[in-house]
Amino acid sequence: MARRDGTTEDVNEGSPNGSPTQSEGSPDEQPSPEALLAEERDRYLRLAAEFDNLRKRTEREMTEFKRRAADDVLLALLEVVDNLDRALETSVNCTDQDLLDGLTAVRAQMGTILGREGLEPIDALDRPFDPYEMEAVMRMPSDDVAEGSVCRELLRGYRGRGYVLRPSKVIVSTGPGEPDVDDVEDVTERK
Amino acid sequence: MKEKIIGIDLGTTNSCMAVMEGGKPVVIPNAEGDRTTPSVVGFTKEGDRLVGQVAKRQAVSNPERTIGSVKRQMGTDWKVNVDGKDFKAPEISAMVLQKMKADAEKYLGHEIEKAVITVPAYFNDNQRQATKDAGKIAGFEVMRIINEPTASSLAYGLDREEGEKILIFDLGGGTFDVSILEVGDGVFEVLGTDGDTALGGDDWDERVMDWMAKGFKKDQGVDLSKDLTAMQRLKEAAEKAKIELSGLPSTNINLPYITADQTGPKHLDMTLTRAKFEELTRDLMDRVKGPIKSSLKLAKVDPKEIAKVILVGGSTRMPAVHDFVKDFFGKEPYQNINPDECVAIGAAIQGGVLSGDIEGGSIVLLDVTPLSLGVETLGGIATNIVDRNTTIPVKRTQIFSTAADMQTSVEIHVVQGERDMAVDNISLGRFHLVGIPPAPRGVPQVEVAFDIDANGIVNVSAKDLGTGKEQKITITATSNLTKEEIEQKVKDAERYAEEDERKRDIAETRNKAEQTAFQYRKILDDVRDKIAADKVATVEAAIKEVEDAVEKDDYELMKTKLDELNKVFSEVSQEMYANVAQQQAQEAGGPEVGASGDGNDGDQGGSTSAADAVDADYTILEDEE
Repeated sequence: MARRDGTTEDVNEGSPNGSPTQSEGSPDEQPSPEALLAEERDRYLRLAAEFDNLRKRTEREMTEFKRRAADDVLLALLEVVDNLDRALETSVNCTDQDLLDGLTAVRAQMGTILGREGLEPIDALDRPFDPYEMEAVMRMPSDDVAEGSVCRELLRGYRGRGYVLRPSKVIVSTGPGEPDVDDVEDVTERK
Repeated sequence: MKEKIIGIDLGTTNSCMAVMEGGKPVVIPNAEGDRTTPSVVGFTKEGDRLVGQVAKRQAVSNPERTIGSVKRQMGTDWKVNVDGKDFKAPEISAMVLQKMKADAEKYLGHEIEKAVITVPAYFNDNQRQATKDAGKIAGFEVMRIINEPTASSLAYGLDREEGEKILIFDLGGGTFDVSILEVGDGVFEVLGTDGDTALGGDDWDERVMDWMAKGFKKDQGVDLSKDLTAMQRLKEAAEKAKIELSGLPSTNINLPYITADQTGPKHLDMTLTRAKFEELTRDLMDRVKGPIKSSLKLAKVDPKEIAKVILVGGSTRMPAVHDFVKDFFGKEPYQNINPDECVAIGAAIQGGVLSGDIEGGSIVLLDVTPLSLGVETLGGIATNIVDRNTTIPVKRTQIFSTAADMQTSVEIHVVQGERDMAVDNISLGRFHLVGIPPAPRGVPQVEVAFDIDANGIVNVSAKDLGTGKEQKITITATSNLTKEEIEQKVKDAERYAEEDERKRDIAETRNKAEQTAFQYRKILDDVRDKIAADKVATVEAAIKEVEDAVEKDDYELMKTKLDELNKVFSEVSQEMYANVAQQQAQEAGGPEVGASGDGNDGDQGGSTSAADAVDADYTILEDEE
């Protein structure tokens, strides 16, 4: 079916400024010089105000930009930190103590660098789920963790510098009970 | 100028807003700094309302009290009950709009009352009314509801076409829409629409994820699909890979420590080529064909009749989409406007038309200088005063000086273009400022002003700040170049950039050599009695060699000799300062212009910086004589 976009205007019935302002004054009437001047002055003032607002906003944006300039690099760096953490976690049975010590030292160094940048890890485990700092990936029952709290952390989040750089990815407890199969499927298919 | 009208693309998964500013549409970021806002609303158990990214983050943990994709329910009897209170679809949509309104007001620094909101072309009157109601509940006066494909066409400025048929290909995160419009008299008529409400970019991600999991199982024998952490990492890596493949022919997916078994940790390291990616998702691309064909049939339009194809939605960034359109319609699609923002931008433009911001004459349409304007300075260098693309009207001034002692007139040669040397640019005119009182070079101050009015007429004036004497020229014929000619000039400048830089380098080296030789000779005269005679001779010889090099016009020689002179002079001056009392040194330095004054400040390499200082302080005009 063909539909004219114009038909949408019937939805607009009753709105006072629904159509362009062509009806203002008949074309024969010449506006007085005073009126023209007032109009021009109004235009000028509005433009000047808009410019001033733009200037203020640009200043604000520059501050914000400076603050956030390192975000991309830090986010990429966090991936390396994650992998160092994983390396240490999976190396509990590693017999090469030298390698393990070295790895631990490198991880500690990373921690120092992140700390210097004002970043700190978000404590998620066993805490009430907070959407401002965490992202829920799924729910599952837990005998140890209260309903609505985090029973597993899939990815550590980081905050600092006045905002959350990366939210934690967590599993939220539904309290004690049998695993819910439906919920598990939720992980991959939920928009 | 009337009150601002904001344009809102109220999407199924994400929403976006834009507004006209200074005659141009600008996307407004939300409070979190993102240019799109998830169309998700959540209610916490404490009774708080969450909207956007925060609501999306808690959706999985709070599915009963989280509402997404409410757009699909607009105009129906759908209701959601939260804590004993019923909410209809427009009320939920209004919560998204309310957040956007608040964020926009914070961003713009003033209240926003009016909005243009977009809807899919297939929305019926009920659905449109529901959308309008949502706007009203959010506190907006909804000036107009327009079709999303119409907004996209407006964003591309296609409302001025006559009788053209346009196809809008909108592939978002979760839905695919095709619309065919015909434009005439500034009105867009929808000839046909179709789509697939369950096809979007997420499907492409899933294919990559499956491929990764299968490949890993084949290589390492470990099934990752049972490992939640691993699957989460795969999902993110899949989307990242997809996005990277839009710009690169292949991407590396590296996920160390993805899992571990008895043998130890396992790492995932795979390379996905664009060809492989397209092979994995071929059937998904095939699925877009159906709706396209049926919409063409519905509109009774042959693919050949489609004059323009517009790509909207983030997933159209995939090269396969572009290739498909080129293949199917035999023409390049329009995709230079950010496909995530295109609809909101079009809505803002409609808002601008309604408020009189556009075409109502309220906004002064500002022009720009197509090419840089400047003057020729010593050595034939083109010194820009007004850079290309500067918005006019504009006034810019710069102070110049003389190149020779006792010079009483300067020539102002006005040139236009992007090349480094004046001779390669367009000469717009020249004039002389005479009657400058005789003074050592570099002392007179000549202020050159370029004043370009709104019509592009350039007034160039030169004023001797000492006497107040002024000369000017008016150039009216700066803009009779065609767009192609201007583009050619800009391209030329890029092409000859290296060559031009060398020429400029030569000219600048020559200027520097001349100036340095001159300055040092002058300093030497003043301090002659404080330095051993053999040293004076050494410096004089070095100066002479620089002057000879200039005479021979030998660039390399000038550079070498200049370096040598600087070295010799620096040694001498150090020795001088070591030997001579502080007071005497100041006497020697006092009356000098710039150069020796600087020499006093720096203990080492003082003479080098002296030469630099002269260079920076004065851009010296070509000597007229």
